[in-house]
Amino acid sequence: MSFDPAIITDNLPQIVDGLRLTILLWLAGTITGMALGFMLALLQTSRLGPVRFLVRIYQSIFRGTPFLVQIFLLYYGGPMIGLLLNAETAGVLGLALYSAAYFTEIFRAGFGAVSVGQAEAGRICGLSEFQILCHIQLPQMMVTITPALVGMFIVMSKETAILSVMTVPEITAVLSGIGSATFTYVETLLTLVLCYWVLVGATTWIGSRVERHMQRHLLPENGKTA
Amino acid sequence: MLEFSGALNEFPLFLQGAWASILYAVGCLTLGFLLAVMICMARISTVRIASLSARVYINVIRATPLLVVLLIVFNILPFVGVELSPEASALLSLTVCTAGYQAEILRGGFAGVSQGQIEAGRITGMSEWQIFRHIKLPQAFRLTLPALINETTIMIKGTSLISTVGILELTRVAQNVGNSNFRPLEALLIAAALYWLMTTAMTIAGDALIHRYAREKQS
Amino acid sequence: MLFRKLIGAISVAAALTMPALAQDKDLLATVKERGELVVGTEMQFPPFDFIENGKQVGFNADLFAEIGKELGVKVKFIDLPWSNVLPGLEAGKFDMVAGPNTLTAARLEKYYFNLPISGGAISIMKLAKNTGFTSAEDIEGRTFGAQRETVSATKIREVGEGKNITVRDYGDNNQAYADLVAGRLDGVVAQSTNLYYAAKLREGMFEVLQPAIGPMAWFSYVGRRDENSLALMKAIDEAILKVSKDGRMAEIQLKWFGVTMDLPETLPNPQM
Repeated sequence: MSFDPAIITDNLPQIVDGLRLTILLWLAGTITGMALGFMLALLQTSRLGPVRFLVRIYQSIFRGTPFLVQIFLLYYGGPMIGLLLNAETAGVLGLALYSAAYFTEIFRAGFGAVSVGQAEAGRICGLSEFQILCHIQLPQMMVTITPALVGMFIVMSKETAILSVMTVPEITAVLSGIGSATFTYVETLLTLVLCYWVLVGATTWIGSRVERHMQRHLLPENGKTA
Repeated sequence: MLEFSGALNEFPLFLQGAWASILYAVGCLTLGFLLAVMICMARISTVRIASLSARVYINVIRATPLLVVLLIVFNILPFVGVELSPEASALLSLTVCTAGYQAEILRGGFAGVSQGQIEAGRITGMSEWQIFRHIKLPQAFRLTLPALINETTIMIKGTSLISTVGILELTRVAQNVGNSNFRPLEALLIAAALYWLMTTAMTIAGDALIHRYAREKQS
Repeated sequence: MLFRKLIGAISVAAALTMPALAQDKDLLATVKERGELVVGTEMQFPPFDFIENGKQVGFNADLFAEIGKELGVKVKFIDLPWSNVLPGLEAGKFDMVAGPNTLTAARLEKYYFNLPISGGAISIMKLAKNTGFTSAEDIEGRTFGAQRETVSATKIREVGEGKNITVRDYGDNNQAYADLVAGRLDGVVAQSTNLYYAAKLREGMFEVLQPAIGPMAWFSYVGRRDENSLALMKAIDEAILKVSKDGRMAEIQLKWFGVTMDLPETLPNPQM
C-alpha cells in the first residue's frame, strides 16, 4: 500500500469545493431540521389529540425508514407527483425532514425535563405563553439537551455522504471521482475519512464549548461538565 | 396517479430483499453486541492503554460514515492483507460500526449497576466472570435497552447501504424493480413501507420487553 | 439462553465469511478448482446488464454463459455501483469485470483488456419532444447527465469546456434516463450502444442526437494486470475469439443490439 500525496494536492481546489458544499448542505439541512423539530415538539405539547398523533406519525415514518430511501423517493420519486427539486434543494430538504423527526424527540424530552410548576408559576406572574417558552422553558432545557443536539449534528454530518446518490458533488462523490480518474482509491478514501474526522472533531469541540457555556451561565456553583 | 400493480407483481423479490436486510441486521447487531461488550470492558478498565484504545475506537467509528466504512473494508483492507468476500465485508462494516455505538451505550449501563450487588456477588463466592455474566451484563443490558432498541432500528436502516459492496438487499431490489418497470416511486414506497414495518415491529417488541422487565422489577 | 443465541449467530456469520478470492495463486487454476468464475459488474446498464423479474439479463449474461462453457466453469456475477467495480477488482473481490469498459489508453495502462466484444461512440440522448435541441453540437448552456466515473462523464466535460454546460453525475444510466424524463436534464451522455437500446425500449420518448461526441471506441471486459491473472485473461480471450468465430457472438449481438458487428481479433490501439 503506497500513498501518493500529489493526488490530493493536485486536486485540492475540487476537494475544497466538495467539502464546502458538504458543510453548506449539512448546516442548512440540519439547522432547518432543528427549527422544524422544535415546532413539531411544540405541536406535540398541544392539547389536541389528532395534532399530537400526526406528529407521532411523522416521526415514525421519517425515523422508521432509511435516509437513502427517503432521498431516492424525494429525488427520483418526487417528479412523478410533480415535485421537481434540484439536487441541492432536495438534499437540504431531505436532511431537514429526516433530522426533524429526531430533533422533535430531543426537544420533547427537553420540555419534559422542565417542571410543569415553573410554567404555571410563570403564568401566574402574568407571563405570556411565548414569554414562558423563551424565558423559562428554553434556557433550562438547553442545558440538558445540548449534548443530544450536538450528537444529532454529528449524525447528520455523516448522512451527507448519502447525497452523492442524487448527483450532489459533495466530498464523498468528489473524492471517489478523483479516485476513479487516477486509479488511486487508497489515497482518496483515506483523505475522505480524514475530512469527516475533521468535521466531526470540530463539531464535537464546538459542542463542548457551547455545553460548557450553557452550564457555566446557569449553574455557576457547579462548573463541572458532564 | 400511483400505479402499484407492476411493483406488487414483484412482491416476492421485495420480501427476499427484506429478508437479506433482516439477516444482515441481526448478524451485525449480535456480533456488534459481543464486540461492544469487550470494547466497553476495555473502555472502563483501569488499564490505561486498554481504555485509551477503546476511546479511540469509539471516537473513530462515531466520526466515520457507514458508507465510508464499507468502502474502506471493501477496497482498502485487502491491501493490508485482510481478504473478505462481499458478504463478509458488509457484515464486518456493519458490525464495527454498531459495536462502537453499542459500547458507548453499554458504558452508561455498567455505570448504573449498583456496587452493592457486585459486592454481594463477591461475598456469595461468585467469580469475577460469574459476577460479570450474571450481575453486571444482564443489568447493563436492561438499563440500556431503550437505547439498544434505537440502535437496532438504526442498523436495520443501515443495511440499505450494503449494496455498495455487492449485496442484494431491499433498497437495491426497489431500484431494480423501479427501473425495470420505469416506476421508481411505487417501488421505493413499497421498500419504505417494508423498512417501516421492520423498524416499527422492532420498536414494539422492544417496548414490550422493557415493560416486562419493569413489571418483573416491581413484583 | 442469550449466550446460545449469540453462538448461533456467530456460526451464521462464519458461514457468511467464505474465503475471499485468493490472489497469490494462478487465477485460472483457482477458478477451475473453484468451478466458478466471479465477475463484478453493475446491473443498471442495459442492454449489457439489467434486471428483469429479479433475474440478470442482457448481453453479458448471455456471452458469459458461453465463456463459462468454454472454460468449463459456472459464472457468478456480483452487482455493485460502477464507482466501486474497478476498485473492487483491484481489491481482489472478483476475478474480472464485465461492464464492459471502454478501451482507453489510461485504463489500458492499469488493467488487462480482453478482446473487444462490442463498440460504440459516446453520444447524447434527449427527449423526443424537446424540439429545440437537434444537434449534438448545440450544447451551449445545457445540462447533461452521465454515469459517475465513466468515460462519458469525462468526455462531455471535455467537449463542453468553455460552453457553460452543467454536468451531473449519476450512480447508473437508468437514474440519468429517469432524470431526463423528469425534466432536470437536457440530455444524457453515454455510449451509443446503451442509448440506442434505451431509445428503442421506450419508443417515441427518446432520440439519440447526431453526431456522436466521441470517436468510435471498443468495449472490453477487463481483469487485473498481474502475473496471476495472465493465464485466465488469455483463456477469456481465446473463449471470446472462439465464440466470435463460430457465430454465437453474432447471435448474441443481434439479440441485444439489433445489429452484428465485426470484432478485431487482436486488441486494437485505444482510440481515446
